[in-house]
Amino acid sequence: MSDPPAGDKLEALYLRHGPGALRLAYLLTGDRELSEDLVQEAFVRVARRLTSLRNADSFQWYLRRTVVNLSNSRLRRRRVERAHLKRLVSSAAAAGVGTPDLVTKQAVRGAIEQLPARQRAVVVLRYYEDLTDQQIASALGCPVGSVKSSLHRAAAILRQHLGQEE
Amino acid sequence: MAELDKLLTEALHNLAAEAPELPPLSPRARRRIRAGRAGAILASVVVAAGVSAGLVIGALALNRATRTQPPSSPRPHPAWTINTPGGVDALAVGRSMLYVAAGDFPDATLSAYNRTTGQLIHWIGVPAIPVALRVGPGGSVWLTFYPDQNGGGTGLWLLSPDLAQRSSLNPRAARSIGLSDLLPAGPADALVAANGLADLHMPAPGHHGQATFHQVSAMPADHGYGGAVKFARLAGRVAALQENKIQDLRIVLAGPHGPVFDPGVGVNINSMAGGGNGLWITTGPQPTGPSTGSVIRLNDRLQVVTPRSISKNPGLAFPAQVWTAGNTVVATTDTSSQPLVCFRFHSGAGPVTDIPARLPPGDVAVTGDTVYAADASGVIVYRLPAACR
Repeated sequence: MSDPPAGDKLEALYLRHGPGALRLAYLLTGDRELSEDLVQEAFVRVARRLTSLRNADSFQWYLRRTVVNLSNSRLRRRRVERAHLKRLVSSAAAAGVGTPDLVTKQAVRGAIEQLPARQRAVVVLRYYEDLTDQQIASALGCPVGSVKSSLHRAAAILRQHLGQEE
Repeated sequence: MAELDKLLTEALHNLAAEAPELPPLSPRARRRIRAGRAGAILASVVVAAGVSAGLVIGALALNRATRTQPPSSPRPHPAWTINTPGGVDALAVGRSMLYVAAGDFPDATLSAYNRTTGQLIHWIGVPAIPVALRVGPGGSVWLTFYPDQNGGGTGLWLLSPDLAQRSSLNPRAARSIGLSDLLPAGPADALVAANGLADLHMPAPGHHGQATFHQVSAMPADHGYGGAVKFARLAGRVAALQENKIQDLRIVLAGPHGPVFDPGVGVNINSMAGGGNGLWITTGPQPTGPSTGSVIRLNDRLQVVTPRSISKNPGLAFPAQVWTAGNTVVATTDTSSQPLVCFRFHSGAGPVTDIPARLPPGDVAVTGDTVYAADASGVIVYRLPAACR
């Protein structure tokens, strides 16, 4: 059987890995439009290097890493602005109305949005992507110890925001 | 802990279900992928040709591959890099030091590195995230900081070049400056936005005493605008990038009845840098705006005077931020093939030249023939292309 044309292969890669990357970007940024832009940009960056990727299976890994890096970059640009707005934003839990699940979801969203970019990435990669400490370190390009300390600090902050006692 | 794990796992999976549907891959994205691959294949062919021509030794092949780059594309400066995996918040260049602010509260730091060797000279903890990091006349270092999501304090420090000595503005006065920028004006003086444009005189680093404010001029404060996200010198005056309560941005000149540059509806001002008798700014689209962004030059009356070679340059089609040093203008872009570019401007603009950055830089400092770029991995040093000096 012959290989599919390059355009079809690109489309297949996008359809295969794009949805997961989009959900990751959305969890990292909390912004629907921004997550769509980030995924397109990340896909472009990784697909352009496709010819140099030794293993096609590594595409997902590179795409994930690129999404995280782009998200952190955008969040870092916005961080001072967010700090400025922090006092204006009431907790999502307090504002939540409706079913208990909805309240919980909004509370978690609000709590995660308060985390610094790297801690947020660590939390999403651990609890959504279900990666190990080593895999998270690889995705973020940082030591495993940094992942552990970031996770520890993030958990403490989340516990405080979500009203959970250790 | 197990309860928190379960809560987060369930909530994140629920939230992920709210993500938008995958949009089709845009035609522009497809073009960029094709263009990038064509370049990669061409580079491979050139390297292979070099090898097959008898340049079997790896080092020679690498040398040949490097020579295939355009003459204006420099290699990264071989000197050194600083690894800060969490990224860098701000950079500033002094006479012999490079200052790097990094980390989140309570681990935020300000470090001084030898510019030539990259050796860490001294570092100090900072009780919040940095907002403004500037080097003033005489080499003194100005730092303002502000709480982040984790907490921290508001403050302003004037530090000695080696960061060993400092003087502090009292917290109440520092809060009046808040997130506004500062513009060093003397060894212990800086212009700040505090009830108009004020000259802040600080005790010398390591000395006690009261800081004093001296009103310099008024600052436009109409339509909810106030403070200064960024200051820049412009033909002997002070330009301020101002923000209102709904994050619209505009540029004004300090003083009464000065001109105003408003980028228009749906257009954001991403950055501003002084350049002699003009300002360089980058604009970008707001979510609903029509623009893809531009690099724009404003004259001393804040009128647009961008050379056509810049406004129509494809290498500057998606600009992010801009910096200046003398006649050199450096810009970051959201284009993956050219995330860092530069050009020279002296009565006219020189060619826009690629600086082969390893990652898109978040902050840049330029001095002499050197570009310091902070990206997600740390700081890397590039030699400024000759065409940009």
